[in-house]
Amino acid sequence: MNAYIEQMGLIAPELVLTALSLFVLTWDLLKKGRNSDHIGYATLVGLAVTGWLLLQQWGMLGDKGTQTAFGMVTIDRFGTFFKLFTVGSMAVVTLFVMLDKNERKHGIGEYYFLLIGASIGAFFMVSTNNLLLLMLGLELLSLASYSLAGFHKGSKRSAEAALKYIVFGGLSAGVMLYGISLLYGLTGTLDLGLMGHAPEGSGAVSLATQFDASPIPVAIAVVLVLAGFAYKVSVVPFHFWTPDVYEGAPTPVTTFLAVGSKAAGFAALLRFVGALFLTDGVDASIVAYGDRIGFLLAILAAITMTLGNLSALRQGSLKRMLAYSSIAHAGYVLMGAASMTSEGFAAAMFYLAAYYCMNLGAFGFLIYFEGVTGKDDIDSLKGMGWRHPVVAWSMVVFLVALTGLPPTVGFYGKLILFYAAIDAGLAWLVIIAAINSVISLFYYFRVAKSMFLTEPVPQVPMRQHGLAGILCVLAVVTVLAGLGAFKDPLRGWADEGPASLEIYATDAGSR
Amino acid sequence: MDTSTVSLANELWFVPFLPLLGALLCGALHLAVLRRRKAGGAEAPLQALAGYVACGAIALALGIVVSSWSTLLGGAEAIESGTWNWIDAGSFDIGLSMVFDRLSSVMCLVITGVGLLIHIYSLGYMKGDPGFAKFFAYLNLFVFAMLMLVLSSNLMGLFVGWEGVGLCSYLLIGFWYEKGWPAEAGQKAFIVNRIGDACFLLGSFLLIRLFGTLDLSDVGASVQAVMGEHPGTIALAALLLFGGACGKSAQFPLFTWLPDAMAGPTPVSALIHAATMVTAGIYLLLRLNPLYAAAPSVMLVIGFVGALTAFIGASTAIFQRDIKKVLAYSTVSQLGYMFLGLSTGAWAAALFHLVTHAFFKGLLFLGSGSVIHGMHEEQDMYKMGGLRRHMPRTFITFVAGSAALSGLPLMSGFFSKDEILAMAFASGGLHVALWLVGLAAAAMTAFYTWRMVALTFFGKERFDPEHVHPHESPATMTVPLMILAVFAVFGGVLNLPAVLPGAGMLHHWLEPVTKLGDEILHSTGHELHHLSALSEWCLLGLGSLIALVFAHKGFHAYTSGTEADARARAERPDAVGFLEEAWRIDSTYTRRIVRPIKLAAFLVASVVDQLAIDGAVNGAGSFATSLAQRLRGLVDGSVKNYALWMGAGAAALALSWILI
Repeated sequence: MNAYIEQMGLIAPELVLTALSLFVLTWDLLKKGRNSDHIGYATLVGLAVTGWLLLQQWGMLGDKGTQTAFGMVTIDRFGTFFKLFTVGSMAVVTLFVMLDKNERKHGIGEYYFLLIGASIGAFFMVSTNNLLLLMLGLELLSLASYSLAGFHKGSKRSAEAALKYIVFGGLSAGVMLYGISLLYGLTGTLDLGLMGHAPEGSGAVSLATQFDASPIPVAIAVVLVLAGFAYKVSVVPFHFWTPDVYEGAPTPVTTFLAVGSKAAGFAALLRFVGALFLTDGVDASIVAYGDRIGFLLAILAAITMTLGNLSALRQGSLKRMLAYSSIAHAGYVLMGAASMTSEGFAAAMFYLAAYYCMNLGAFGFLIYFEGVTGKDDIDSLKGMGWRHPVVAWSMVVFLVALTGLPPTVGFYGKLILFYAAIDAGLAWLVIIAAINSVISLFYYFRVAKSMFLTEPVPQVPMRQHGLAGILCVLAVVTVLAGLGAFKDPLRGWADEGPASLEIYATDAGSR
Repeated sequence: MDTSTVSLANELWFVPFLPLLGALLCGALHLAVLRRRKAGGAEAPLQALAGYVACGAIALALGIVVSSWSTLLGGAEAIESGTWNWIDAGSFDIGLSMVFDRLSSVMCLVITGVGLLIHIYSLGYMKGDPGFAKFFAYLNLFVFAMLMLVLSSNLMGLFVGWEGVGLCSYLLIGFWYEKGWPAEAGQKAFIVNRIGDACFLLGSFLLIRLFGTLDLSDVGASVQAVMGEHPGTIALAALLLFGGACGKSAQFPLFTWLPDAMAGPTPVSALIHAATMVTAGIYLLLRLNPLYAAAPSVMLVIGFVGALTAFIGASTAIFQRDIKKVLAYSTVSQLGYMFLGLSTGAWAAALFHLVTHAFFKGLLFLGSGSVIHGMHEEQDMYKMGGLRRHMPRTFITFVAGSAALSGLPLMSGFFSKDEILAMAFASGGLHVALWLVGLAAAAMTAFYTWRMVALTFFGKERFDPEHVHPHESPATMTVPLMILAVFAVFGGVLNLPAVLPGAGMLHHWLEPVTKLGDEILHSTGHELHHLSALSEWCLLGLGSLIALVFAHKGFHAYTSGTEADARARAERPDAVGFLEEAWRIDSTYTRRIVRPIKLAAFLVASVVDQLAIDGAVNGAGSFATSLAQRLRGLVDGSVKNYALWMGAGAAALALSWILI
């Protein structure tokens, strides 16, 4: 019993978040929805504590992860990286909610509660090797996201977005569960470590062995599970919900979906693919079928980035454009997974960190801009550059980063990704990605052009200093990180994550 | 590099970053000026402050450069700053540090020294311009980029500076963009340089392939190991990088932007388009001297291009009416000499001419600016004349600069040009032909220089005394002129010919940098031949004679006025027109290249883009949106459709996994 309580320390960050969610909900009930800013501050404090705990955990963890709760929960650096990511994006989204002028009118206590709930889901989703808990975490994240998407109950667009999100979410969850049940039937285990490499006497059969015997069921099972993840990170052709939901949801929620939720989805995807296929030459047959999945992911990456970018080209609404741009970026991140090396995984993780800066910034700009004009179309941006120079220049930095140009972190992230893909023999994919970057330049800079090169239209002179400050900080971070300022911690974190994952995957069997 | 002779000093980072800080401050001051102008307040104090900030930043940078230089004089081979690891991706990394060695120290002294004088001069020249603070912001930014260019230890850092100076050049050429044509000139400079920069990039890619690094000292050190195996690739990389140098240093066939660049304010022409930026190409070749030494065929190409450019530039300058155009073509021509020097492996001679040229051409541009300023923005020499009485200080310094440019005996330009020509002569073979071309260009140089002096300062006053009252410029402008004049006259002592006492200072100074290149030249039998004392004296005498004779001819023909030109035009209209328009190279480009490209662009924009690209894009975009729109409010249907797509996608994935 004592040992069990000791092990509870491993999930201290999750416990803090859970307590925070209950606290926020109760306080809101007691306050009857008044003075919601205090709840926001409380949330920030809780997130800071969680982040601190995570950093402590990072320090304590070695290359190798550790497990608790009868092997259900896996604590390793890979998961901790994504938890830090989630906490970081949650903190910025909380600030956005607090500063967003459009959000004030709605009772806001549940907003924070749901966001925290979604994070708890994301936490469990990224820290388990067990498909069952992974599924539960994913569902918790999704359920909270559905409610958040429909948070503006009065708005038809928001309600429609929530409904679409639920229907497609339910569908993809069903597909994924079916895949998981097939995998269980094939291997006799839900543990990804055992599934990847089952030792004698464990009672399980490794997937590679099953693949040799009956490739078709294995392929179907794996693809069904992958489809579930692909839905979460909006990879073509599982992306149809993305533009509608992103457009209809309140913008801070969209920000969370595009950054926090997507990163958690990628974490699960990378863990799944890594455990089953990234075994760095343990077994020749595994390598062979790992290459196949890499090639499939490469094709998905190519289709996703191309379709995402081409669709973004003609969007009139900035919000919709950013939705398609986030699809395209899912394609870039997928390149890292497709290279099927720990170098590629690290590159994907680093790129997600870059994605964090530039997309939080771009969506923050969108919130600012909606606050000023009440619209989200690119034409209404006219003259922003002259009226709100600080915010507009910050946006230019984010656009430069999203395009992948120096001296921003977007360039650096893409450089590592491309390098990893070339090392993995995917030069053709890098060429496609490079062409896509050029295409994206066109629609990203349409925004800059609209802001600076066109005559201003009359607008309400309104300023949101808090939001402008956050954007400014994000822009500075984007540039500094691109110049290599935070390279050592960031690269270190991203590099050590897959290392822990990989050792865990190969070690699981000998346990 | 041997560590015992390299000392570490992180204050080197301040050398480029002080001007950057100055640029940022001046930019902020410009914004403050705009705000105050809107409010109707007095903007002059802010403008003046920007000027002082900019000059102060350069002066501080100069201080650090001089103190670091004294360390070098104390025997250190190089000073290196700590490394900033910019990019680190797998097997490829780019670490950047500032290296102050014997070559970059000379460049830094010129950039900050001449740069400071030009900054001070600009205080007077730009006085009252509404964009005063902006001008200094750009000027400081330029100095930052130029210092990055010469101090970077890595070719990628050099390229950042290379592009930075290109950007500043564009901004400053088009500084008076309201007039229209300066903006076009800026664009032309930028676009022509694109061609060169594309070559530069391709060349550096080849270097990565050859050496796996872009670190300049590593590249230089590994040339000898690689040259036996890949002589062709080395030659191609060297040729491509020389293409980049052709763009930046205005060599044939990419020189056409430089004359147009005179649309910028005159201090810009002096700093960027005479003293510093245009010499970046020479610096690049000097820095990569082992690479070029290993590619003798490319060296010959460089010699041909240099000599041809020297000849075209000099012959075009003869019939120009615009005083700045004369100087612009003269710069093109002098840069050609430097490349000619490089092609013989006379590294020090090229650098020597670079330095003296910075002195005398900077001086001449500033002097012409003083004339233009005093003549109320008149640049046509046909409307000048007799100005020596009105602007005595400008006149005397301008004559000093002209003496140096035309290579009158004992002036700085005499020694530097003579050394290049002597080296070409000594190299023998095809280089003797190039020597003859250079000699002809030298004769024309003396001619057009003294024609310019005569037309501007001598003869009758051809302007309208009712409206134009020429006046001497203020001290902020004339004092820099005097300082530069001293250097232009006496700069020759830096590297006297071997037959004189105290000879070859710069040559010895540069030896550690060019050691590798010299070794390679020696091993391939292309080393520099030394002339006997007698032939050296003969060449010095020949150079003096030609300079004196043609200077005299040019001066005498034009002291009386512009009749000589009129006579030439009447007798040989075709030839004069041909020369005036720089051998009609620019108009040929317009006819053969620019117009067809514009036509093709129009076709692509109106046909290919509209039909093919837009069709594909609209198709892909509407693919998703039409589905969404058709089903809006019809949630039932959309689920079916989306589910169909997802199912089909999953099925396709599963199938392809099994089949491939």
